Amino acid sequence: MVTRTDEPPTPTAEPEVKRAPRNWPWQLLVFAAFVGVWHLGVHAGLLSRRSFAEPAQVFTWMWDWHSSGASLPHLGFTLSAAGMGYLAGIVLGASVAALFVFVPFLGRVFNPFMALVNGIPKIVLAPLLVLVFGLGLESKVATAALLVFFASFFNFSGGLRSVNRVLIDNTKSMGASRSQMATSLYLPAMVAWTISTLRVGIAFALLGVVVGEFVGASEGIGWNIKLAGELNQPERLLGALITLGLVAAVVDRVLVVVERRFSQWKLA
Amino acid sequence: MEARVITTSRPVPPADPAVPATELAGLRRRERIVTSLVWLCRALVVVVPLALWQYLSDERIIPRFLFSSPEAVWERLVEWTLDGTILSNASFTLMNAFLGYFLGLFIGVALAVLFTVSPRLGGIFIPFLTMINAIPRIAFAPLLVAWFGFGLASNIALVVLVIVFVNFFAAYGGLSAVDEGNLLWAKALGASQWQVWTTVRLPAIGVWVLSSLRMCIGLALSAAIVSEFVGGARGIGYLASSSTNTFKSAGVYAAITVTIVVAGLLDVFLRMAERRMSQWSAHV
Repeated sequence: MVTRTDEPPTPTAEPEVKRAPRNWPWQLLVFAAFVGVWHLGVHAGLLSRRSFAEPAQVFTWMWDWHSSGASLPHLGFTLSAAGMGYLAGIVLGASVAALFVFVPFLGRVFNPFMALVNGIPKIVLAPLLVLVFGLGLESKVATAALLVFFASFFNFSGGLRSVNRVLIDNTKSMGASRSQMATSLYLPAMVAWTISTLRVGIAFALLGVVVGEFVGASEGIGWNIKLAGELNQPERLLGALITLGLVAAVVDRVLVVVERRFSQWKLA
Repeated sequence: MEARVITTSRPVPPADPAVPATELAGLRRRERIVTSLVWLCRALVVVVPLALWQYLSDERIIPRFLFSSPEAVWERLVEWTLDGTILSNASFTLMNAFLGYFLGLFIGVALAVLFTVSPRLGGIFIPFLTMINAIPRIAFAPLLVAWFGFGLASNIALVVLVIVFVNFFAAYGGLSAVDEGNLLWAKALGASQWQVWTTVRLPAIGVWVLSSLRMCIGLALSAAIVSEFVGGARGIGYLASSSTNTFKSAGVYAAITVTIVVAGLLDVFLRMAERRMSQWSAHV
């Protein structure tokens, strides 16, 4: 695909956009129809009550769970595990990536192993981590950190390698010290990569914690989802799942705002 | 040498051809030494931890019921290979991953085409898809087990759920980013709607689908494995999680080894296929 670069910048006075058709009434209708069919399906017995709950039941369960404060320890467990695993994974991944790029020998030794690990589903290690670190917080932190580590490592090493070779040579020939190169060349070049890593990482952290809770835990949102499935409590299952979705959406929103704020720093 | 190139404008014969030649030979020798050193270190990276692991568990410094030992894992692997456990479970997981991938790919692309043909429908439904996309989809595993029961159906359903969204958003993005110029050209040359789709729009998706194949297969494998953690009756993930639940640590390590080997081989194979196909897609 050819992109033309010789075009003049688009004039500021853009032609009036055709008034977009309003979607929200339709969306409301679709949503209402979805909830209605769901309700009637369960009510009429078409959907088994063992695996489906009425929408109102799900809502009531969620309301009770959150308003009574019963959800707090679970939210706290999942979020703190995800947060700790996230931080550990990002920092470790970035450090190892930097080590491998700046000590090329180490990079040469380990890169084939990293490429191998990159190709395998790392989530399969979750049962091992639960076995070794136990049912508590540690194993969830470890699972999250593991997933985030590799995302962070590959993102950062890609970023460090993509720093313009000419710029590196020029700064060197102008006599920049190692620390000067780090602060004036590598750090600014890494801002965009860091931001994308931060956003991808949080999804991996939540995923790692939830899967860790599926495999073995005694609290947490993922544990609630899994247990509700085993106990045939569909309202609890759906309620906890929706809660997880809301948490993930809120965290992602925050990171999008951060991303927008910092993306002005991107090097042209 | 570089200095000489810069300061002269006419070709100068090397003043002393012997010096650069030996220098070059020296560099080559040095490179050979470094390369062999790299290979030595790679071997050490594999052997030393294994030896240490064996030693520590032989001496009971680390608890065997948690950490097992390379010997025990090896025995378990041999046992599983001989009684067909590996073959049946690995093929089950791979089949789930591939079936789910193709089903998810098909649904995702179909939705993208539908919402491109009718932007009105797209405007209504895409926000819902974006909302669901924000939830870690692998967390749906228990729900799907509740709906579809243990085993095959719920495993494939989770893979489909994960793959559909990835492919839908990519295909839809690809379709929206089709070069307007190409569309205009195709129309100017008298292409029918059908021809525009087959010659301009679908190839644009095709390139993306091929380039994301490896990533998506990885995701599909992850989803299949997690689904087996939660509601499996067979498969690699089931081997790992059931061994954990029964504290058969050798089984956990063996299941992980099987995953590494199977997924690693699959990845190498897909890399080769990707290289082949990139030659093809360069022409599109």
